[in-house]
Amino acid sequence: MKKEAQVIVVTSGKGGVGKTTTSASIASCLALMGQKTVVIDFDVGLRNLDLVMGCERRVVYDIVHVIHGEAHLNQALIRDKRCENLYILPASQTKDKDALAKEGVKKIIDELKSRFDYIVCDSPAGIENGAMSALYFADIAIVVTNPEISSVRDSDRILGLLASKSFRAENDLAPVKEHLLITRYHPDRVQRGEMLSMEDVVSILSIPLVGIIPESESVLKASNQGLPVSFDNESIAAQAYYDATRRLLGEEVPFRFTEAKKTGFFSRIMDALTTETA
Amino acid sequence: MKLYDIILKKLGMSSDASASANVARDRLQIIVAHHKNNTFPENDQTVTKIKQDILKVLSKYYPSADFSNVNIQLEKDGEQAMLQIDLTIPESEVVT
Repeated sequence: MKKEAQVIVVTSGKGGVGKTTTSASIASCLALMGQKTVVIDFDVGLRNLDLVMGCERRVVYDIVHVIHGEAHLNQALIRDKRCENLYILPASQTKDKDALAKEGVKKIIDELKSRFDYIVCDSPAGIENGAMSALYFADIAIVVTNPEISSVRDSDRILGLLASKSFRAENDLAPVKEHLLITRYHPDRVQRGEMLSMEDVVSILSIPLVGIIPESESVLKASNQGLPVSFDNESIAAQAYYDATRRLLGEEVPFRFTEAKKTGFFSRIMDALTTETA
Repeated sequence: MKLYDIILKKLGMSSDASASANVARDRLQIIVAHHKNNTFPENDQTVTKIKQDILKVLSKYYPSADFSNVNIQLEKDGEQAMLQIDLTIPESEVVT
């Protein structure tokens, strides 16, 4: 008997914090670990996931074509060339805000549940249609947050919506399992008192921390190439995403990449003499 | 600032209470706590409409007052709601 598939929403409220990067990376990690995974782009009108996954030239049908019955799910699903467990369902380019109706999305998710172990829903920014559709059927939520004041407030808002406007909330089921993922973390800036620390963010949002992704140049390089950063073994962001995925699957993994560089007293003096005052 | 403090600060070794991250954290603690306390069964739009109606009533009785600096807080504490209004009524309007 196949274990019940889990629906994971990757959301944030705030834009530009790393939802699509996270969706692509975590979906890739899950697939590379042997889990049959599909990642769905829930944006309405602006496709992004296909670019980050590197399959933009293979998009023929999208989620709205399937909802409207113009295509079968099979025709819209794109299999990743690098990993056979990984599939992508692209977003529509339509401007119709009501394109992602609940019944239509439910049908797709139910069909996907019979074929996959994990369904990752990449939410757009905001709290409009696309974002609400993405979180509605979630069992698990990864709330992507930058250590920055607007992002933290928006994440708090999204947590409120997960607790009140999800299918689970409306039907009195066990609540969506919320996880915090801090992205673009810069331990040196935290130490200098310029950036909120992971302890600050966790204590303000009060949900379990599933991962800390350090700021890394490898993320831009990866999206330039259409390669989810998880495929780049050298990257500290990739390694952090692996750690996060393992925690998602229940493993206890110590947090890496959270400490500032320990430099000697002398090199600190040299740094101080040669850098500008903030 | 003493030379010692300047050196420590440059070396990133002083925990300056006014460090920007601390300011951000303190601001967030107020915002998020306020949001948690202010959860009325009605949504935020209703609270805004209540505030607007209060301002209309005040303007009726103090027609030449400037209410741009008025502060209206509607908060919930458990089962009770608390309404707090801070405003300045101009001298000319005060009836003795």
